[in-house]
Amino acid sequence: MRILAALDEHSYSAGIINSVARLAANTWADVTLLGIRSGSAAGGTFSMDHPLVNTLMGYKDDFLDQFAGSSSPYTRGQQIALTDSNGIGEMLGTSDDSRKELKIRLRTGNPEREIMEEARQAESDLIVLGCSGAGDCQWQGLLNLPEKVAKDAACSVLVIKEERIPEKIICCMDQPSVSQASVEMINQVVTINKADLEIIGLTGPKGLKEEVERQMDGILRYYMAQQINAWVKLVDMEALGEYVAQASRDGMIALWMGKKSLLQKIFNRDLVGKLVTRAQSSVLILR
Amino acid sequence: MIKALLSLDENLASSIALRYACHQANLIPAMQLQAIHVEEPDNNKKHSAGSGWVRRTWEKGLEAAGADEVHRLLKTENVSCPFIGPPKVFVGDRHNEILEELVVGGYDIYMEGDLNTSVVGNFNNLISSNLYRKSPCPVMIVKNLVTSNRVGLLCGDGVDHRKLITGFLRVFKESGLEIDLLYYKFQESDEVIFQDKEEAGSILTAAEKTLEAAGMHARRSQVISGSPERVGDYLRNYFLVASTFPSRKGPRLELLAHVLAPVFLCRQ
Repeated sequence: MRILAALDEHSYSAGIINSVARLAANTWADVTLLGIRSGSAAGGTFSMDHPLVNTLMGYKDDFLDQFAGSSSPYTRGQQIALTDSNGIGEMLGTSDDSRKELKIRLRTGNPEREIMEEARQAESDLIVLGCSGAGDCQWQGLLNLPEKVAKDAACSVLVIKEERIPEKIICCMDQPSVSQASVEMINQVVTINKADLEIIGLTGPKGLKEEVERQMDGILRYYMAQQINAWVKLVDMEALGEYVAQASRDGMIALWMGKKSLLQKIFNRDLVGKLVTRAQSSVLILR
Repeated sequence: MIKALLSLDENLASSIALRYACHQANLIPAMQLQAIHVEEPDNNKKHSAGSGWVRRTWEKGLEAAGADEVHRLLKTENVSCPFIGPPKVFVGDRHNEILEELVVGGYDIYMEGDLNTSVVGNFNNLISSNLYRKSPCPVMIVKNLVTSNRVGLLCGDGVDHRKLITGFLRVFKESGLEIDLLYYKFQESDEVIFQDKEEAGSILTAAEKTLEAAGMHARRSQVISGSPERVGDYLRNYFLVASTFPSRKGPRLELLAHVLAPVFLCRQ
C-alpha cells in the first residue's frame, strides 16, 4: 500500500498526521509526505532552512513518534539529507534497513497538478489531505483544491475535515466487484475512528441486484467477524444524492466508485466535488 | 416452550434474520424455532401451471426446489439454533401459507427479515399486509443483526403500554435483556433531545408500575424527541425496539420505519 499525504503549513495538515500514521500502521504502507511550494514563490532549489522543509521535518517527527519499539515498520533515519532533482526536493525519513519507507518530497508549482503528478509517479493507492472547516474546505487558501483532487485522482482519496471524528462510516455500493483493498481500507478507517459502519445497497427499478446483495452479505460477515458494528440499509438510486447530503452531516461518506459503478454516473465529478466541499465530516472516495 | 416461526428465503434479509433468531433463541432458554419457506407458483412465470397431475408434479418440484433453497441457506449460515424440526416448505400464496401455519401451529412470535429502506410507505405496506394484520401473535421485523443487551419499549400516543409490556414479556421475560422505557415526541430537529419522564405526563410512570407488577424493572425511563430519522438512527443499537401496531400514519409509524434495529410489534 502506498499513501501520499499532501501537506501544507496550516493546522488542518498537522491534524491529519495522526490519522495517516494510524492508517499506515494498520496497512504497513510506504508513505510520502508531500509539501508544495506555490509556483509564484521564489524559485531555486530547496534548502534545509526553508520554512516548508522545516514544517515537513516536523510532520515527519510527528509521524515517527506514533511508532515505538522494535515492532515498528518505520526505522527512523539518523541522518537526513536533502537532495534536489529538477526542482523536486527529497529526503528519506527512514533508514535503509527500515521495513517500510517514509519519504518527504517537495515540489514547486500548481498544487493540484503537483499532487496528481506525485501520485502518478509514486503509484499511490491513497491520497490523504486535510482542509479547513466544513462549508468551504480550503487548502492553501484555494477553495476548490481538495474537491479537484477528489474528482480527478485515479486512486482513492481521503479528505479529512479537521473538526470532527465521524461516529459512523456510510459506505455506498451498487456493483459487486469491490476490491479487498478497499474493504480493508474501510476496516482501517472504522477501526481508527472507533466508528459504526452503515453499508448502503443501492436499489434500482428492479430492486437490489442479486450480485450486489451477495457482495453486501459477504462484506457484512467480514466486518462482523472483525467485531465492527455494521448495519445494512437500502436506498433508492434516485434518492441517493439527497440521502448522502443528509448523511454527510453525521458521518464519513465512502463511495465505491468502481469502473462499472453507476455511482460514477450519479455522482459525476461535480457532485463528488460538492460532496467534498460541503460535507461536515470526512469523505472517502474509493477507486 | 416459546415457539417462534421464522420465515426464510435465500437472500440477505433472511440470512440476517436467521443469525438474529439464533442469537435470540440462545438468550431465551424456552425458545425454539421453526423455519418456514413458501414457494409462490405464480411468480414462476416461466413454468406453465398446468392442471391435475401435471400441476401436482410441478408443485412437488417447486416444493423440492424450495427445500433445497432453505437447506442451502442453513448450511451456509452454519448457525447453532434450537430448531423444533426440519424446515416446513409450502407452495402457494406466501402470506396465506404463513398465516395458516401461525394459526395451526400456535406460535408465540413470527419473525422475518426485511432490509431497512426508511421509506415509510414500504414499512406501512408491510405492517398493513394481510399477514401482519391477521397474525395471531406478535411479529418481529429483523432489519439488522444487533447483539446488544438492551431493548427499547416505545410508548407514546396511541400505545396501550399494558398490552405492549404484556406482549413483550410473554416472549422475552426470561431473556435477561435490559429494558428502556421510551416515550417518543416528534420534533423537527437535527439533534436527539432527551427529557425526564415527567415530560410524558404519567405514561412512563404507569409503564414502570406495570413492569414492576410483572417482576421487572426499567433500566431507564425517558422522553426522546427529534425527527423520526434522527431518533430512528439513535435507536439502532437496541437489540430490538418494541411497540404496538400503529393504527394510523403518524410520527410513531415514521419512527418505526426509520429504526435500523429489529422491530417487535404486538396488538393493542
